[in-house]
Amino acid sequence: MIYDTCTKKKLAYNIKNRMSYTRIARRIILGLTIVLVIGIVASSVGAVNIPLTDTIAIVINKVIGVRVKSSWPEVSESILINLRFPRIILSGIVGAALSISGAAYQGLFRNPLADPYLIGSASGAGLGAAIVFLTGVPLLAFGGGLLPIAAFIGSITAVTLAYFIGRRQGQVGISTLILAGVAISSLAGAITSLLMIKSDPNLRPLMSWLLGGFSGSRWMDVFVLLPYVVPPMVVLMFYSRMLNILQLNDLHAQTLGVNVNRTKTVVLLAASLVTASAVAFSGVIGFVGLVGPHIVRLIWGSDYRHLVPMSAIFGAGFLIVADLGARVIAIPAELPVGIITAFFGAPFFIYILKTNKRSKGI
Amino acid sequence: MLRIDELEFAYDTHQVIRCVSFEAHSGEVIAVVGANGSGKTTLFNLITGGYKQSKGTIFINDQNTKQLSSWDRSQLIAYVPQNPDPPQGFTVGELVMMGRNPYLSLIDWGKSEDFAIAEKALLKTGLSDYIDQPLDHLSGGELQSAFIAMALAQETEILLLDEPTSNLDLRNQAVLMSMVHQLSRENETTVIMAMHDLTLAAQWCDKLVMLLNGSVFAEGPPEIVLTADNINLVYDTEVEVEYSRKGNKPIIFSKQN
Repeated sequence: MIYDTCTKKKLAYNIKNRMSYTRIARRIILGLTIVLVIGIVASSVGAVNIPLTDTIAIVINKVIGVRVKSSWPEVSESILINLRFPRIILSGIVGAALSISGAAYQGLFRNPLADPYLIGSASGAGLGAAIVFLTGVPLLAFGGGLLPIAAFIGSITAVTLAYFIGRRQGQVGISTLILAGVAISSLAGAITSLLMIKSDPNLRPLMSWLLGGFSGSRWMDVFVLLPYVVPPMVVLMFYSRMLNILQLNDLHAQTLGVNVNRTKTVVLLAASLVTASAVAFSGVIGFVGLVGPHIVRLIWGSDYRHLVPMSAIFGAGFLIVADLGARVIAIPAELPVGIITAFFGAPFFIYILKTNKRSKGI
Repeated sequence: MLRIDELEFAYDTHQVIRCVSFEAHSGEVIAVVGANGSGKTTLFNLITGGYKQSKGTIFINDQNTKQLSSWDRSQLIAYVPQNPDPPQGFTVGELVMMGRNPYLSLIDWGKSEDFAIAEKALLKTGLSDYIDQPLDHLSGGELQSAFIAMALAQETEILLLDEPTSNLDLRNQAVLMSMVHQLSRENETTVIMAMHDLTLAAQWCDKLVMLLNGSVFAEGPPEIVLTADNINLVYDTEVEVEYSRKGNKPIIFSKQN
């Protein structure tokens, strides 16, 4: 009898609090709304400030075709539509991509410090993309489509190398993976620089691309990037519950019916494709994959079912804000966005290193 | 029913399991005993399919497990490793629900039945109040129980526990062993445990399988297997075996060297 009432009470309690699609969906909708607000505010601010009411009116007019305000300056509309909206949307997508792949790499390697930048994935993608840049294939033709593929090959090669270098007796230590990743990153970066010096000194686009950033983003970039990042992001969300089980050791996860090798391969391919596509369009930007997932962990814990989608949303918001900083801090000049993300990301890295129980003594 | 037939296994050139055969019937509680390095954990990893044997066969209900996918096996065998590593940032409830994975598709997060089964497993292991506790906050014994609850949520015919009592105090040892005992009697579960505490094994298990250097040295009810001679040989240490006044169970005392 005691057990009965006890069970009933506990059951009601648990069902109320358990992870479900509706619960996640609510968080995602809330998160997307906040990112939308951040995006609208960010697009009002810049070298030319546009009143927030004008921005909102222009967005509403463009999206649903209703004029809520009689008029606004023509030039404001032109700045927003042609420059700021594509730039902010692109930075949001890239932020989501880097952050979701950070969460996936962290789950895959059971390593809270994994980030596409730190484990070499981003630099490998950078090298792959640089090779395409330098072969002189016109980027507006099929070169634009070739870029993410080359970046993908570079990215997956770098991660695989880092993984095997960091492995000792079947175990990948938290620090050894990062050290291997840093070594691979430096090597890939050095080769990229060498290729650049050897090539045409007037290759300005490569130079600015390598620094990472969103200046000169166009709608075209958004439309080309989307088909590369959305499908693997969906795959990662489908695999989020599997990522939970992968947090047990491999022999144990396999007794729960998980095909460990296949699951790891799918996650690795998807995360690397997402990283590579982002890098191909924005250059190498560090720490987004660390900051996004860890804010989510601090708020909701490490269940990958919300960690994966919410990381994407936090990453989008984070990179939109970071890019806003890059645009406005040194007006009229622009800072590389990587400087801003490093300012936030490096302290985060140190914090995680100091607080993580498992990283001690490895 | 589990039947193991002339099992052999080697890591590279190091032969760990030489010749292991035994049967485990439904509802039986079996302790696998033997010195450190005698092959207990390896044997468990062979039964779960984590390692592939070089020779021999494992049958579950007369079906060769080689023909089973890891998915099929996970519905038949649950396994709790020795000192399992807790995933960081997860709660007890989240961990126990992982035990339902063998019954869930990729995008299914569990129906009401699955949550009810997880609840029941938590109740059995005395962890009902810990559902929303982070695993990092648990004591060694509670953590052990949480992993056992996860294995119970798998609802398998066979339950493998690798040294389940090593982290537990006297009371929790009794709680665990009586829970295991009850499980075998009520649900006809076959429970196989690797154990170091021979007196505890004798008290609670129907049968003991004693390993020596990767082979079965002795097999049978506790009073047959746990003789002073057997223990002296297998553990290479002098012991005395007394019998409890009630129940005729052997009690093992180690002698000073």
